[in-house]
Amino acid sequence: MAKSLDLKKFRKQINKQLEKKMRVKINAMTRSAAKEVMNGLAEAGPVWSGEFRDSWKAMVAGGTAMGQAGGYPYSLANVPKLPITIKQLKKTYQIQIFNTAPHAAIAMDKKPGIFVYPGFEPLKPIHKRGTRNVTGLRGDIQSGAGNNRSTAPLDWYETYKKGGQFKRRVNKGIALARILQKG
Amino acid sequence: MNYQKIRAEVENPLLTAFGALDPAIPVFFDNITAAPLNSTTEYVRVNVTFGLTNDPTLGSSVDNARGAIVIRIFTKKGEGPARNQTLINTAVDVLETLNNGTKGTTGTYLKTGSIDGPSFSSNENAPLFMSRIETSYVATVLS
Repeated sequence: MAKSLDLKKFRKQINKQLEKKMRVKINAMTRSAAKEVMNGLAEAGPVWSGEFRDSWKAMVAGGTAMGQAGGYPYSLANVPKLPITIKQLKKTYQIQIFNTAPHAAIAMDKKPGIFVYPGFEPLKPIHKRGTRNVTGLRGDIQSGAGNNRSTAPLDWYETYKKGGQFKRRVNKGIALARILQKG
Repeated sequence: MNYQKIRAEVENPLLTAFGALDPAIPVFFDNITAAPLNSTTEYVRVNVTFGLTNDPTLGSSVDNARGAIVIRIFTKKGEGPARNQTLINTAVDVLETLNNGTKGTTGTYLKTGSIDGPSFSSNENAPLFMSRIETSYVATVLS
């Protein structure tokens, strides 16, 4: 009888250990995917001074844990570690990515803005040059005469999110994490 | 890949729907001159963007594309959102009709995703009150 109980206990412990290993692996994959998504956003978006590009942050959804401060290119250090205990995982298991630049909504073409030449040229090559349309949107530039410039197409964020690039970056992050874990 | 067919699949019904309103609402697409915009108080701006084409996960067809549709509606500022929201209904109806299309053997088959929005914005610098809705799409050119 005692032997049977020990076996049960042993099995339970093994299961717990396996589950923990799984959770650690999933954690690594999620963080790697988040890092890739952040780098994808930085590369797809507009870059003039670099402030917007370097302001992507990751935090545990519903929590306060954040990755280390830093800009593009983002590394795993910029993504917070997810909890790995079952109790904590019940509370949260998601990573939220957001941009803290004050003009983020304008850079993402969500709101119109005022555009003043800052006195230096953009870090990223010009995507379009011409006259900014009356909409006042960052990327809404009519090619031709005029010196308004944009470094990313209009609605680049929606295209990134919905056009398949986001998914591709997530897959890349997961694949990278798996390679690292094997190595 | 025939991008133009995909674009037309989205743009034509929007142009027809807003053109049928009384008064007709001008619709502007990508790379259309901004000159008339300054002389109108209500208009629609449609942006059809292309993301990945022929992504292996989309299926075996070589004429698959996905991307985003962003529709912005501009109306007079300082008069509340009612008029703007009325016009949004027209855009949403078109997107829903597109999504309800069935796959035939020719033409373009397009499915839209969930519609985000509407979100509204208006600030002292913008001449008009703006709303926007956006959705994803997956399109297959069948012929």
